[in-house]
Amino acid sequence: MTRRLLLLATLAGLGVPVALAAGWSPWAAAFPALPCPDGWSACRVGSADLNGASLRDVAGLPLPGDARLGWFDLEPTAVLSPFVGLSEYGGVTAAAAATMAEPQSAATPEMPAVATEPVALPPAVAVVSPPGPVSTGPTRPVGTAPTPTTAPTPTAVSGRPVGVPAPTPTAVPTTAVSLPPATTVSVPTAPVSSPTAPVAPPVEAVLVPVVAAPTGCTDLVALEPMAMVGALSADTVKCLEKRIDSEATQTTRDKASRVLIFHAEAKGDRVEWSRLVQRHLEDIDRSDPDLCFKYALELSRNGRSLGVIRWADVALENKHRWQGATYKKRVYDLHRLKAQAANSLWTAVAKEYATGEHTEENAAKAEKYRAMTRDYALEWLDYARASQQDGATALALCVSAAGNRTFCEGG
Amino acid sequence: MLTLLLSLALAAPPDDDGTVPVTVVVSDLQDAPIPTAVVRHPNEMERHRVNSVDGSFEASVLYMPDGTELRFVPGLRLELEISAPGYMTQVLTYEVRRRRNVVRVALPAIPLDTTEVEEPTIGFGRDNPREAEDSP
Repeated sequence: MTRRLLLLATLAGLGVPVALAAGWSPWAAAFPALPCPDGWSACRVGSADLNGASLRDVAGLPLPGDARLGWFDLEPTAVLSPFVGLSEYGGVTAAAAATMAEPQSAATPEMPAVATEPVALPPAVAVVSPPGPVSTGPTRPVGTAPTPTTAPTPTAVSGRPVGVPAPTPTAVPTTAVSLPPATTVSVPTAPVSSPTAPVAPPVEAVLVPVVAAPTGCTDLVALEPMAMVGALSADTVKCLEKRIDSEATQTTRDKASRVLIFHAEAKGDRVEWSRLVQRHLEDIDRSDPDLCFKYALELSRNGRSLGVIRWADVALENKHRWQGATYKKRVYDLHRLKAQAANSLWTAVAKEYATGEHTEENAAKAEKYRAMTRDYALEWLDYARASQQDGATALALCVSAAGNRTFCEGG
Repeated sequence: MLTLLLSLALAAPPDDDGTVPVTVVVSDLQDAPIPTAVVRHPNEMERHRVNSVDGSFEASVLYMPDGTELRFVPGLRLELEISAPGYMTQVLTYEVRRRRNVVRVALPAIPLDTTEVEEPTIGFGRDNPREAEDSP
């Protein structure tokens, strides 16, 4: 009994320190300190709050707070989009602006509003916060400016950093503030040499969008990021439509059409997506088996079986563009789509013949679609056997249509 | 209707030539009749449609391609293939009795689902990186 107690005590003594030794480091990647696209520790992009907590993808699976794409579905998260404006900051911004203004105040008037070198300030500096809010536009961070100071530690309001809250005469180490070229901050030079300096006038920050949306539709490559998030303007879409109609070169028409297809898909407009893809395949180019496959799959979901068979056949004509496992999977799925589409046709007409119009025309149609189902299912089964994939469903479909097991198994 | 049909089948005595009617009732797993089902002997060319209301098929003789008759007499081991669009085909082996020759067959549906089909990723039609494409 004593031995057991000693053994348990020894195990507990060894195990507890090991357990306590596990620190935060393993979790740092999952809960990043600065998850926002522009380097903030918290922000709102669209309706999503980014604050370092783990994200959830469409399926509800957790993702790190700064993951730009879903790990499982590769769908863009709110972190990916740098084009969405930040949410309005409703807190007190005067102190933060004062902190930003300090190095600007130290700069000479001839210098641009970008201080690249640290500038030493006199030991006693009076930093007076101007009253009231100082920024009327959307708050946007101006570089990263960690400010080591002996002043009270900055606190965070709503996840946003807040600068020195009180104008305390103190020794403030200078900081280097790097501004984007497109951002201009006009800050009046306040006298900082004396603690009894007059109050500085309000600081006015003029913020210019750093990233401007491309205008026109000349540079198709520049439109791709906007198309991927469904953010093309109506004018750009019209411009692309005109370009598709008027462009002489087929490759450019192809690229412009693809930009529109991406845009419609990102917006979730399936009807428009189908229209664009159909036009692309009918009028521009049908040599991309992936696009044919995807269109056939979309038609399958909409119950348009004849279209499924047609575009699956077109995709199979260009199956040589796939390789390896992709080839096996795509060709298998295309045969499957064809057989299932034929089966849908057969089922619908057979039901119509049995329960509705008992006509010769329907009987002939039913026989025709049954033969199609049998043939496509046999092709599917043959490919499944040749590529060593599952052929159970193909066999069941073939037997159902042929009415004879030996026909399918003997092939 | 079904009850009436079954009662008639149950009561059906052998005909003068010794044949007895055999009734096959085809339904799905939820016991709903399949109006599009067909019944066929393996050696037969013709597919016999079931009654579209109750899913039943009744016969006492089948005609083979070589002109012979397959008469359903007690003791005969009868083989039938029952199929329907979208359903698994089943082969039925049944020994004909003097009466009560009603066979119920439930066909499971073929699992035809495209949700597991992986969608391909579409590209922008650029095979080369942008730098290479932009360079003269």
